Amino acid sequence: MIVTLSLFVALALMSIGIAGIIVSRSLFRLVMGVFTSSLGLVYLAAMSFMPFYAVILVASISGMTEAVLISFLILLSKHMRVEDVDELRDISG
Amino acid sequence: MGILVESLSVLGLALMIYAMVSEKWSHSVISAFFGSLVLGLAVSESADPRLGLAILIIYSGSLTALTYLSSILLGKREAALPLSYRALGIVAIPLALSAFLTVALQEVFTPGPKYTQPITTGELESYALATALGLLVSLVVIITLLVEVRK
Repeated sequence: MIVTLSLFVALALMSIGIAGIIVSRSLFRLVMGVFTSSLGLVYLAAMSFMPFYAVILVASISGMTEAVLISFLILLSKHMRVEDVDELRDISG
Repeated sequence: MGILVESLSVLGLALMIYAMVSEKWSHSVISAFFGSLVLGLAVSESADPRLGLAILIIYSGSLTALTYLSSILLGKREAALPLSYRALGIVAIPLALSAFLTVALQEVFTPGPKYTQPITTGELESYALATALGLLVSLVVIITLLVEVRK
């Protein structure tokens, strides 16, 4: 059971995130897309009255994945010696 | 579902859209912070306050802090930042990381519906212990990272 507006917001968040991943022009934008789509997933799970434990599990796992991605972004930026995360485009070097 | 939840949801959606389409990364990070904050408030108003708090801590706190860290630690630009910004980052990021670790570890390794009962003293003690542990781990991580970046 889910209210229509919640479903719309959750689906919009997920599709915007996926669109951001597809058209991302830098690694930072890709991480932002993953952030938005996982937030939409968690919002959908929370608003559809899933059990508390399940929602926390989804949020924790997607949050940890995101944290690993951002840490990878930090290490890669240090390795490539860029000064702005938006300059991190060509990972082949 | 009241008008408050609806307006908070739509506002959060608009902020996240702005975060995705914005050109500058600073606008993007700040907009993502406030968008996830507002969405967490909507969840806490609609479904469960503790659930909203968890979303707020994980997304609005720790992940945005990590993204901000990844942006300010790069290159020589960090040296141009004022001292207060750096101090703020160095204080805020371990706190956010420890909160993230607290919520994540407590909930992942605790089976069953934990939040149907009110919080007892023993649970508060274990929360404090987990926070201290997370603070220690994240301090080590941050110091290692700062030393590595300084090299």
